[in-house]
Amino acid sequence: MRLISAHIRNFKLLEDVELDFSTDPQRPLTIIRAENGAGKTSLLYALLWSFYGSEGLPRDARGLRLTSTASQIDIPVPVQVRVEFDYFDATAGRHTRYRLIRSVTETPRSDDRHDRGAPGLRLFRVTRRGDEEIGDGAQALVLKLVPPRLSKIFFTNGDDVQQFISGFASTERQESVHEAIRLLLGLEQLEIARQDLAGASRIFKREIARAGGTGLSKIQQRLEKAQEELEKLRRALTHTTERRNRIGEAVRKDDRALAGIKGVGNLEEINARIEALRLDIADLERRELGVLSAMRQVLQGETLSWHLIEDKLSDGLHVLDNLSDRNVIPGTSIEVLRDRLELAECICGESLEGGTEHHAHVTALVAEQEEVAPRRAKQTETWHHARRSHAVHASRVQEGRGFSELRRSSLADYTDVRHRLEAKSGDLRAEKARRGLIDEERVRRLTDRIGRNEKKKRDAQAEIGRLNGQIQGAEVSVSQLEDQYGKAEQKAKVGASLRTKREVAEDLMDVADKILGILKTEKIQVVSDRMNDLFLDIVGSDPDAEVSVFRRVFINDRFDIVIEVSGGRTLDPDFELSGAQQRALTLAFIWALMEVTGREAPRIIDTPLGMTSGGVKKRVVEMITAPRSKEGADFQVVLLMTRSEIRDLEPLLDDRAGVALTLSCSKDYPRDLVNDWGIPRPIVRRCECGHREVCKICQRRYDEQHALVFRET
Amino acid sequence: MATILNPYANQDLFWPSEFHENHVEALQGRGDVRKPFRRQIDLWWCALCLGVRMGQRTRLGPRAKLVKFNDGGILSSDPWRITHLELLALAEFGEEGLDNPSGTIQMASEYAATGARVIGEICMGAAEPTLTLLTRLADDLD
Repeated sequence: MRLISAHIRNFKLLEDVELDFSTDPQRPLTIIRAENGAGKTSLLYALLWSFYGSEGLPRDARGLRLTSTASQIDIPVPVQVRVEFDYFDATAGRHTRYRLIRSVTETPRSDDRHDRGAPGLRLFRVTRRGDEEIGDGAQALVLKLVPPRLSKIFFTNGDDVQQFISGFASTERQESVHEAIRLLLGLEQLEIARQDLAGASRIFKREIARAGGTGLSKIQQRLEKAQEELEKLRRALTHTTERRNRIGEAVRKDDRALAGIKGVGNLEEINARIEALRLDIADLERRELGVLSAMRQVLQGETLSWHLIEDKLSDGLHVLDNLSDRNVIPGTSIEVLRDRLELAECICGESLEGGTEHHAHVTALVAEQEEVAPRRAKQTETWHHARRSHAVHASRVQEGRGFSELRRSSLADYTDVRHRLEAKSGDLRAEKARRGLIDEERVRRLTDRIGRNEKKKRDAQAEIGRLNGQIQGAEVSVSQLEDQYGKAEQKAKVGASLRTKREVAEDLMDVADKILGILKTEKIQVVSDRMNDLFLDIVGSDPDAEVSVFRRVFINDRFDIVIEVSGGRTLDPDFELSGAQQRALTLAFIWALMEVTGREAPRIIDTPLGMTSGGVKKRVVEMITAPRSKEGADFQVVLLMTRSEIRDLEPLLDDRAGVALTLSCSKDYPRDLVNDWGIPRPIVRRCECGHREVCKICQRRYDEQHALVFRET
Repeated sequence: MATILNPYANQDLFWPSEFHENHVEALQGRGDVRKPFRRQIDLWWCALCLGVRMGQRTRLGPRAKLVKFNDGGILSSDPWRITHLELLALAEFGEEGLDNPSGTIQMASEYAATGARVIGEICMGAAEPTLTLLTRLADDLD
């Protein structure tokens, strides 16, 4: 199955998002770049929901609402996911395209409740003649095309990938590995067929016994009962052995936890580090308040005023400059006129004696000036202050202390402080977690539990001994009865046809056993070898080198993954592999299994590269995005990645990605997103930016770290 | 520096009561730096600048729909504001702009009412109003 496109409406914050997926066998990778909270997990869930409904979602997400928490209360919201995909029918030897539409109406209620209407699923076969709707059998067909039990392999996230082989007892890991192998190699159908054949053989034996008379019938009944008893004992032995192994795992786990506590470190040192981190955090919090205070200064300062209304202030100043140019201000003429009247002589030499025409004229001028003098004085005063204010502003701008610079530097300071605060807070949480590990009460609890479990393990071991003895006895009984039955059947007069039927059923059972044997041994060996190659390639280990850490990884006959290191030692994947190695091992296993079985399927992984870096990170992506080999089945890889995960992989992604796009969320403005979309509610939008680009929609504040190119839209 | 005479000392400064009820508390506070403004006069001045920048005056309603928050005497605490106010008056009314302090305050209050509405919208629901306002002020205008 290959995904072609998806259109998601009103699923969580994915209000209206359309996606295309690469179907190019040479560039099988689709990159969906999205930061935390930008819809990666919602997208994964939307695809799961489209194929399997709510049942397909992780258990803890099934009861949650599908719609955005920002949706209005009591207003029904139509949720719909439309997926177009392509399926290769190996029997018919051709591809068929399907369109699947799953929809439901959800009405958010108060107190975080919601009502959900009847869900709908429509499936269409897309043909050249048009779409043909598949009616009643739609869901059954979807489940056949995309088996839900494979969804754990098709749709996953980085953490789940890691947990595939870690985080639980080895018996559970074996079950996980066994289940994946059974599903992908088709062992399940073969095992069912083998059971059917065993049932048929029993029926024929009963018929033969009936036809052969009372004696044969009695032996056959005793034989069947003895075989049932033997099977029961073997099942009990398997069950008890598994129980003993589980208890053993639990004891080892608790032992390691206890040893770990001893290795955690000195409580006093941890307390000192916690105290130092608290002081650092308090200091950074004070600095954060200081930066906010500086921002307030910017918001109330003269620089903001000049920045926002410079045009208008300049217009006002221009009015005063104009008065100055016309010598209206400064208003000094009144003093000169008064002086001339007192001297009784004008500047031009005319007499200003009382009673003259000139005296009357100058007196009138003085009166006129006296009337406007206060205004002139005020204008003059304002002119001086305004010129000074403007000069101060101009020099601030010249010195790089204008509003724009102050704003930019205070926002940068804020970002810096927040980053450091988050880092220190993370360190503090980690130190507290370490301190939690040396909780004395926990040590006591672990010690008690180890004691109890060791007793249970001894009891289980004794039970295993008893069962082994009983099984030996039962095997002897069955063998004797089979012998008796064989001799009695030889003597009995039974039709050849019945004997032939029984023999055919038993021969077919042998064939099924042999095929199962081949699949369980030879095929698994191929998967195991391929997994080994892929894993060693990723972790960069040379099995022949003297100093190499990893020598070999393989799947043993109990379906457990074994990691062999130098000196013939084995490592426990749960405790002795790093997070990056755990991810690499699981991906190597899944990829090997898919490659060997030729299963055509998309692999969609959310945040695949957490905990990996450097060469391991690059080699993981090289492996999971490699174009298919000539004989290999088509496949797709959809990686939902953050900018940090993408960093340093750009050239590889240029080569492997057929489609690349970006998702961003409006709620990240202004803290992370640079531009406001003008949308007042949280929604996720898609843009065409590939892994090397940014645009107005997806540009973020720290993009300069990622050397991205701005894409005009 | 010579003292700047404050011709607006006797003029009352108002908020539209709707803005006063819904936003002022969230936008200003002396000790809380997460609120963008220390005093109401700082908020008023920023709103005035924004209104002038937008070139929009909002007619103030009747006295009953206004809340007095201070008088013009507060402008003396930042004398440059008096100078800027006077430049605005000259730009708006010409050479006689300095003759009518009450008209100038009326004009400034109408601009501030426009800007106040915008500031209220920007900061409403913001987790970090000081950061949001500083970011948005320049983003929206540049």
